[in-house]
Amino acid sequence: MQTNQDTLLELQDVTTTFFTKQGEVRAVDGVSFSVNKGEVVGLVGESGCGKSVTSLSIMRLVPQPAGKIVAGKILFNSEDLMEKTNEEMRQLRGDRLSMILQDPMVAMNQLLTVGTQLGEPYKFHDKVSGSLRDMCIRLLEKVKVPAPESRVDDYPFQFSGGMSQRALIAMGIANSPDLLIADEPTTALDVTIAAQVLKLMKEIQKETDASIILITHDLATVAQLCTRVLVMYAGRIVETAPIKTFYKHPAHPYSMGLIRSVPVLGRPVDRLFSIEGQPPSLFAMPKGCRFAPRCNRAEKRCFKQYPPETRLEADHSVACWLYAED
Amino acid sequence: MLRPVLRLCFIGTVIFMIFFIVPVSTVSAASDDTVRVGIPYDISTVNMLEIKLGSDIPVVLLMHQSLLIPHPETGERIGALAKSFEILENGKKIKVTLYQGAKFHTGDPVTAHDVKFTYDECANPSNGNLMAGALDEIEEIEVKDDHTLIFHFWEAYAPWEELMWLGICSKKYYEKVGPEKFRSNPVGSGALRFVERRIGEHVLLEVVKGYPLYDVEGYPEETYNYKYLKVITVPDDMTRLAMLETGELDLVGRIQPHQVKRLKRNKHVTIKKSDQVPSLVGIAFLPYTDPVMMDRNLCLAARYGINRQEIVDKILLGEGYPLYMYASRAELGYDPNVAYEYDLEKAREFLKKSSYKKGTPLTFTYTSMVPNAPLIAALIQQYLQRVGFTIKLQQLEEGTAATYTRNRDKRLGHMRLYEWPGSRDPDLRLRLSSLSTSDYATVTNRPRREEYDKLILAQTREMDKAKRADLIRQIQDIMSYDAIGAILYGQNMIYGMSDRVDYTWTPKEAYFPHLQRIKILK
Amino acid sequence: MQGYILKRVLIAVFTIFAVLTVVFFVFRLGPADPVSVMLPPNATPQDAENLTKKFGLDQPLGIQYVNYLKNASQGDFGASFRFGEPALRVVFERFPATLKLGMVAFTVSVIIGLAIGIYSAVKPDSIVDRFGRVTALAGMSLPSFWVGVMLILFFGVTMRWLPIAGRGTLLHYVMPAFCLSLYPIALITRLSRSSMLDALKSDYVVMARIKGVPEFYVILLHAFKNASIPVITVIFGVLSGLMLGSTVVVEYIFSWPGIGRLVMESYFARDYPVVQVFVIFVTFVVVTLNLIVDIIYAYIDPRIRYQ
Ligand SMILES: Nc1ncnc2c1ncn2[C@@H]1O[C@H](COP(=O)(O)OP(=O)(O)OP(=O)(O)O)[C@@H](O)[C@H]1O
Ligand code: SF4
Ligand SMILES: [Mg+2]
Repeated sequence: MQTNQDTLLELQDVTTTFFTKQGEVRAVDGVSFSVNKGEVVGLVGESGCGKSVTSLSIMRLVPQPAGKIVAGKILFNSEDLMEKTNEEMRQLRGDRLSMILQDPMVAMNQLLTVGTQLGEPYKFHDKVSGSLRDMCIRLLEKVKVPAPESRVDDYPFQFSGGMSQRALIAMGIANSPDLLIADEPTTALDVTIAAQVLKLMKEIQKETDASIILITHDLATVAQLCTRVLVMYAGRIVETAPIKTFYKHPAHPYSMGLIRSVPVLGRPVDRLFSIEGQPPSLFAMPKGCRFAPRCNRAEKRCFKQYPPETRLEADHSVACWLYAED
Repeated sequence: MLRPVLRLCFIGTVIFMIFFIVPVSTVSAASDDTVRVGIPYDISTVNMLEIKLGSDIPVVLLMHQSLLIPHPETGERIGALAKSFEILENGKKIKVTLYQGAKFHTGDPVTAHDVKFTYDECANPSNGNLMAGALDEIEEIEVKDDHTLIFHFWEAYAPWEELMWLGICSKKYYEKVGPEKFRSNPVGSGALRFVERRIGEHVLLEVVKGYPLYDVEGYPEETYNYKYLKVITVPDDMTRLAMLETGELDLVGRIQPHQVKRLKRNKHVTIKKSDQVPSLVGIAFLPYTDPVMMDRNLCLAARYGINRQEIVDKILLGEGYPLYMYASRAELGYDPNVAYEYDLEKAREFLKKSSYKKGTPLTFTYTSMVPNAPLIAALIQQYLQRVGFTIKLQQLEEGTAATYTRNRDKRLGHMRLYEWPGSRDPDLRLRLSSLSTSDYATVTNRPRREEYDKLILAQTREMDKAKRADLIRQIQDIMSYDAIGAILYGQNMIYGMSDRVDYTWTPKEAYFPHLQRIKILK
Repeated sequence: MQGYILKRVLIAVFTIFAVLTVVFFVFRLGPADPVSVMLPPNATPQDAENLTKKFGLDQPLGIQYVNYLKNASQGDFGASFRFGEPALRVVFERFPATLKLGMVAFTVSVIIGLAIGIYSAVKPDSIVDRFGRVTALAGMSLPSFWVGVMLILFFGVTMRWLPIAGRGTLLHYVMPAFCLSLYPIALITRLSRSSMLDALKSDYVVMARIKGVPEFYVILLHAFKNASIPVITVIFGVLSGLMLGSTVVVEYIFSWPGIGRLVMESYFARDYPVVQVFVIFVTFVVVTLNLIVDIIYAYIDPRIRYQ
């Protein structure tokens, strides 16, 4: 993988480990991928596969003191974030680098007004020009919160779920970041609200031309927004593909499983289909391919050794023995 | 973002203000010319007219002068405000002549009117004075002129000297300022003048310049080389003694024997003792709980069965003396020859002869009033069990015990450990605790009741000292015959002082006497 | 809010009334009576009668009670049996001492407790955290009586660094305040640590960090504000305790002329008026502090305010 000028973010063999009482957990295990400027990348995978930890690693906000990024490089605008001081990171965060958390109800501080929380990205990056309150109102306007002049003084508990998520997005985009990580921004919302929020994100992306990493379980969401997909399984990226390729010719058996489990309009839904079995315990990781215990095409070597990454096309690679060139 | 910080500052300021607006004390007298005496209790009043507790007397008497005082070195009574006494009509009247020149702190002279006023007020029931009952002996006080007055007694009263210690208060001042003001800022004619009292903290007194303002015959010359005397309340024993060690206190009384060892290691602390002080401990048998307690043989079994010397040696560490009769060494009628030697065999025989049924549990009550009470009670339990008694210990709070005693409540148990400060004259004690008609008598149905009561009343009226002593001895004989309990020991008064001061206890006195006589050495 | 406060005040008045009644009867029906306690050993029955009359204890209990309530409602709580002065004055003369010592101990406990608690939540397993945990354990389990004696013997007698007892200089506050604050420090440390740990784990703290909020504000504004709600309950519990009698032992050992000692002594002397004034005062303070706590809650937490 080489760095070109369009690359905004590049992860090289990033490994994040949690040191718990029960033992070490490699939640992210040698992950490498890159995100280009203006690109919207989807990061999909089952619950617990390490999507959130990956994004927190990028933010360098892995839960302390158990978690630690033990190896790898995180290049952002060609600078290694791992080498930055805490203060430098703080200055990047909320400015060039931003993130939206999953559940707006817990991601908002219930004791502070929405306005106070909206204003923070401006305030702590010296971006206040004129009235901070006005800036917050404009921000709320941008995310289409009705009556922003009065809403700005409300507390989060006075907001509905959808409005909260909008406000949370507003916090994320306040300073027009270069990279916005959206960690399951719609999971906590009901379908119609989720659709509105996604629409909003699309618009914002167009407007700001930010790169977005969209984390989700939901392939439909990915289809709507993303140009490229990263599939994560048990701490590793198993397939990277442009969105169309991914839907038409998924290479990794896990990806295929994922796609088959998605209901598609106009096609009878194979309701019963879902990937059988459980993801492996992170404490007892299989030696070979991590998907092997659930894979219907597993071979002998799948259990012995982890498959190497194989490039199928320029922008399509997969880690599976099926495609390995011996 | 300054707001939280500002808010913190505001809260801080409020706390700070609360802290310092509430007035910080006090007349903090320079410590060099202040003598500090530590006591465990609060002085409940500085008003002579309303004294309810004996423990307030030493402080009040510093501010007031009396007609009679004990000589600081011998303990004998000498005239203070009174120049002479004349016994008239065989003791029915006593004529008092006052010294001339004595003055109150206001500058007014001390007159016979003030004496009469003080005695009348102390006898006035509404003041609740602890002397009110005793002063009932006086029928009337007649003022002859400014310096002469006559006490009229209902009948001759042998221990009349016991009534002469009241601190004389200024009538003029009292009438001028009224009872409220007098209570909080009394005026007397004593060696020290009242400055302030802070409940829970101290009473501060100031030396009166040039005191005494008149000649007193037979009283050693007094000069005071300090300016203030502070009587400080320090309830905890350990703390009080620690303060003595560091010099925060100059004088501390009532030190317990086991505390002496530590103090002696400190070369800045001087320990002194007085074995004349009547601090006595005994066991009372309470007949109303169970008639068996009136059995003379049972009583004798207890008297012979307790090794008093061992208690003195083991618990008092030698700081005391065994006692066998109901009178202190300082008291009229004390007979050093009376003794119940420790004899286990004899005790067991008496117990066998008694009507006590073996195995019947007898309750032995003690309170914290007696120093080391739990230890002593446990030891006595052992002695009595050895004789053949079955003893159950019971600890009561002092207030509860006092109330039970007054109401003759059975819950007080069969016997009780008690302490009394004694007195020099046994009269009041005999009449209160022994006269069979008295509310306080524990034994009211003595076999020789009539004879006994007659003796008690007779000694009150006997003005001849030798004859009276003889009567009291007869009373003591009957008492030692009756089943009233067992007297155990008298405890020495141990007091300590810093090497900055010197002080010597006045013999025969129970509370800190003549505190004004403290001397600063350096 | 006003209706709420009014309700609170009414409840307080009723509480005071109820507590008074209970105290009145419990005392009078108890085994000891003040006259016997107060009388000297050589008192005559006449003395006892006089004293009983003087204290107004000769009347039937019901009449005593009615008189008592009547006088109390006019602010007259009677004279202390022991000191002969108005009980109200006796109590309030001694209150400043308790208040000042309590305030010092309170400030010390809050500052140290919060500082250690917050710091050890921010840096778990650091030296401060370990030290804090040991101190908390000690503060919880060491009896203040023992600590007081040890302090006196070491700093007072052996080292001669600090005055042992009494008041006057600021140095006099050191030992009793330390002794008093040991337990509250432990309490506040433990609670603020655990609630801070919870708060720091929460999503809004992560979100604040994502926004680039500096750590100082993340900790104090975001985490601590949320963590403070349980902590404030405990802090005010400590405060009312300090002002109302958890000081008894310390006041006794250090001869501090405070209210706790006064009440203990008055109880043993059966000085009813003083104890009664104290009880009213306690109820008043507790109710007031609770009210303040409620107001603070409402101030901190908008969810309560907007109800
Ligand atoms: N604070 C932590 N301490 C220990 N292990 C953790 C911690 N946080 C996450 N992990 C581990 O890391 C793994 C990956 O967690 P992560 O939150 O990244 O999953 P995810 O892919 O985001 O799942 P979901 O879709 O449910 O959000 C988890 O399985 C968990 O075992
Ligand atoms: S490597 Fe083997 S087990 Fe793993 S996905 Fe490919 S075929 Fe299945
Ligand atoms: Mg997640």
